Amino acid sequence: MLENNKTWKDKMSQLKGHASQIDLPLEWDALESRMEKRKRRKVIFWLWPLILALAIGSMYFYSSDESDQKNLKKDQAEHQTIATDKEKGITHENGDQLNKSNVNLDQLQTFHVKKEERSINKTEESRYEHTSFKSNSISKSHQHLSINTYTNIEVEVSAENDEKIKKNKFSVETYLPDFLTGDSEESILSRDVSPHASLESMKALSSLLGDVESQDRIIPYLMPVIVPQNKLLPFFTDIRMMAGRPVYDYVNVSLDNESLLNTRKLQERPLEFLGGRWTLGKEVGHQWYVSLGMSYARINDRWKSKQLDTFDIILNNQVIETYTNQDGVVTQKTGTKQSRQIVELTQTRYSASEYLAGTISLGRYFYLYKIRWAMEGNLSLPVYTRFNGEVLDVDGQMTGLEQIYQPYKTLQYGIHTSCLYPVSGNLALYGGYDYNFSRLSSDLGYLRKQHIHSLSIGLKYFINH
Amino acid sequence: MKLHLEDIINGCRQGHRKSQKLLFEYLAGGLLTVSRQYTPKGFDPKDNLQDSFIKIFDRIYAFDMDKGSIEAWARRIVINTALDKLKKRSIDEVVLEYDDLPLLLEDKIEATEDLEQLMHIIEQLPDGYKQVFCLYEIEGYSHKEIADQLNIKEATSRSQLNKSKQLLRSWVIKLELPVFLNIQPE
Repeated sequence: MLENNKTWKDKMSQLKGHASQIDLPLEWDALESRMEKRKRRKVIFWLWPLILALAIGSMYFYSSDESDQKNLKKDQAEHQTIATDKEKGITHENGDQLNKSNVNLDQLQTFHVKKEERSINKTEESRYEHTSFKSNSISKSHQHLSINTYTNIEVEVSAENDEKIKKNKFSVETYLPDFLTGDSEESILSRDVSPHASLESMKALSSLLGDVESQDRIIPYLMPVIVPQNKLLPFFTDIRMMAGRPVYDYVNVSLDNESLLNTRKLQERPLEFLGGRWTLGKEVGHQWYVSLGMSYARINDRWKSKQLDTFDIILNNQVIETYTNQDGVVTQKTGTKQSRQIVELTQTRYSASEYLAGTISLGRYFYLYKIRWAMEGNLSLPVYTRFNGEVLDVDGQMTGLEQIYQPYKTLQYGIHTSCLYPVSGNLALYGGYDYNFSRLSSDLGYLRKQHIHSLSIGLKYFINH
Repeated sequence: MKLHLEDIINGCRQGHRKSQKLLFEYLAGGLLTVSRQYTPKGFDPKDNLQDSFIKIFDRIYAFDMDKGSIEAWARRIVINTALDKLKKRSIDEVVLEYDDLPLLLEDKIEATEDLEQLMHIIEQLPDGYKQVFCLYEIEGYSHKEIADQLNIKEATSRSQLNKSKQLLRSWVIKLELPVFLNIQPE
């Protein structure tokens, strides 16, 4: 028997090292083609979001171009109206200052801006948002100025004797009312000038115009296009609520507990995600913003395991024997009977993970179909984590989640996109979609990847808008 | 050879197709045996082998040569891939018992070497029996470990092992293969 047992064990160990016959080239080709397909599928998987992002991007730029053109037409119309109104109040003054340049001053009409200054500024401030990236900033000692690029008219100013402007030739794209642009060839707006529009030349013009302005508060008609750039960018506070459904994905780091991981894959199911966040942010540039704050997330899941089990039951007063006695009477003997039953045991447990995290976001607003949208990316680092519930550990014992998962070794990041609805000048409501991803590390040689898809609603309050 | 194998593994980590091919050629024969031992009925062991190799190439970055051999690591992946397939099946699909000699086994068993004969017989065991038998007899797991892996009770693992041995014994007797007659239930 012992010898037999030894032979058997030898056979089994030989079987462990036994190599089956396989057509290697054929099988490799099949495997390689599968891997190629998988690679293509991966590319396709990432291609769609890329196409979507490109489509959204191009639509955004297209729509912003369209709205720029519309705004341009509107502004031109507004300026024509302003110009027409101001023609009546134009006074010819201080020709000496402008005589320094080689300019036909008879046709360069100037006017006082004292009275109209406020209304002009107001009009220009309203244009601020959509014109700023088409303007060239000129630094002056006390304020930033810019010149719009609405109509493409080239101006030549030649200053022979001026110390400040030493023979500058430049072209400036500026907006001028019709009565200035529709003039003769002798106009200052000579069109056959060099097309260079260097910053130095712009500064020279600014300096010239600044002198005019500083002396008598008189500026040439070029000035309505000068826009103040020192507008404060608003702070905002953002409160958001999220609800959604997570998807778990398990990855084993070591193979020590792979069976446990397989069990977990089968038995652990995510239920729902609830979250919220509060941030304080600031617009940092044209349509860009950053925010910093705290976020809260709660993920509920369910553990449901099924297994077959046997248990013994004792049945009393059961017929255990039937016999016929000597008189021919059939007699039954009763007693207790042991019976074994197979039952399916189902165990359901609910657990939850809660995270409080510091969050930083970077986002951008954009317009699409005349609606304001926001898209942002965010990064969170948990500062407090709490686990409720139990799961099976490697020894098959129920153990608290907090002893299995590492609460602080996780970084959460995600994207958010939403559509904003302005309620008042300072308040906007929004609704959107959030995707967040995090990896929960465990001490059992595996990671739980959490993909959280959620819908969000929130409000943004602009503090110094 | 060890250095050479290290180079192949490093090549696989970098995604080199040539290294992947070399590793496949090195491991495929042995792993096909494992796949045949654990793949449930209705699945092709070669498909399971391919699934396993895809996992191997995906996860090879996590493989540590200091902790064990590539063969053992890959073997574990093949077993788990096959067991995953078994677990995905509904209980109705699993044939729990049959005593008759499977058809075609008789033809297969002829004119092959001992180990291949034994492989053919093990392959024909019903799902559940086969995996328990191989995990216990070939891999050397305890009933507790088997119960954890297959999500069954330890007692079930014991009874399935006994039944699988009885079944194997009956087939061996029918096939008149005296070399395996010493298969004894525990």
